[in-house]
Amino acid sequence: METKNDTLNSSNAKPKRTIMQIRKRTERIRLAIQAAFSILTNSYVVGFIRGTIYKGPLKQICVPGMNCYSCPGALGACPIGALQAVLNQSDYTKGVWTDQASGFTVTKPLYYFAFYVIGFIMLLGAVCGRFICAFLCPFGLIQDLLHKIPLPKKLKIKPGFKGDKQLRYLKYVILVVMVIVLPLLYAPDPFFCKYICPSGMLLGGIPLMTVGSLGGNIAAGTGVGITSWAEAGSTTWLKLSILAVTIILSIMMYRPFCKYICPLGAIYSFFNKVSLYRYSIDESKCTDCGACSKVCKMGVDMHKTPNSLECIRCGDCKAACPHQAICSGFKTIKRPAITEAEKYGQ
Amino acid sequence: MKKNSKTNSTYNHILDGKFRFVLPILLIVFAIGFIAYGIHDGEITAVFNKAINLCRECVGIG
Ligand code: SF4
Ligand code: SF4
Ligand code: SF4
Repeated sequence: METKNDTLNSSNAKPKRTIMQIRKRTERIRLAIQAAFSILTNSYVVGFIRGTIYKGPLKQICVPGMNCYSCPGALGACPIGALQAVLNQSDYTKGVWTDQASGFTVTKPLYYFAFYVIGFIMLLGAVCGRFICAFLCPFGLIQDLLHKIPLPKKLKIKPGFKGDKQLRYLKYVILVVMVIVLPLLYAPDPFFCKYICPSGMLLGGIPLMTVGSLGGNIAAGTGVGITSWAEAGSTTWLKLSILAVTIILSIMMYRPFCKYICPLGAIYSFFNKVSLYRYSIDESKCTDCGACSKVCKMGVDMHKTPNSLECIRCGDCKAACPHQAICSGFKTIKRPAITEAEKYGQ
Repeated sequence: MKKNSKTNSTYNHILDGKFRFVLPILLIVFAIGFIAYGIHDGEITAVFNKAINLCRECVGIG
């Protein structure tokens, strides 16, 4: 178990960093990467000033994380929004219709398979799995920052509470029902965006409606803003409530949205076991002390399941391991020495 | 990749051994193919049109 005085290499005479210092440093580096990436992909400042959104060619490209394309600063497209937009084009009532422009009868597939968006998510997933969640997602960063707000210990919820394990399956249900099945059957509603996504409300709705209300908007004929609070209706209040619950829970526990709700995290999670970038345990070094499991805020037992679906590759466990038994990267995983039991097939 | 109770190992002979690189590379090749087909099929236009027009559902007014 780590203490403040644990050192990385006790036989080394040079000044040693404590495990706490290494963990702090790892966290600072991660925070800097998250902030830099989020600022870079949301740097259309004009949008924030005028209450409008970026309309340039970069919007054809998806961003890796949950980043609403209706955020005034967003330069790219949200993969989950884009996926629903393509599936929404499906028309399950007819496969043949007359093309207005040409007058010819055209046959279109009944259901669209979103090749471009799924290919994009697959590419990122196959390269780095849920590494994206820890480093490249603005909504992950927001939850990380909210969790830094101090709260009395008894109000903090640690992973592993009753029902935690079962609730983790919810994100897969949301992915199938709200992102795939309903948008495919009941076009043109992007169900997840419309009824759940707190990221869209926080990054898109609130800034756009506020700037539009304060500085004037097109609807009222008073400015350039594209919407305002005057347009708020029942779905606005529903989504605001979901956002409020997400914010409160994020202060109380680590990344509730990522653990239980996020359909994008759910997709990336499947790639953790097969992605090029992976975690592994050097079994010649691991003593099964459990220090890695203790620090993991996602509730993963790193020394037992290094490629768990829930691991976001934040690196906290790696920094906390007193024996440097956790390896991460693209290299081949070292095969442990064959034990006597294995040798004789016991 | 749970620890195998018999050998107490997290090493998976298929995913970490033989297929360590085969599976992700296959997935990457498929992914690139999907992206290329999606662009060719005009799917990127659907994404672009959605992304440059205010998504009313996203911002809670749709
Ligand atoms: S789970 Fe979703 S919201 Fe959380 S970091 Fe991953 S992509 Fe972002
Ligand atoms: S990897 Fe092994 S040695 Fe390192 S902290 Fe985890 S249990 Fe302890
Ligand atoms: S297992 Fe390690 S890398 Fe994965 S989420 Fe937990 S602390 Fe982060």
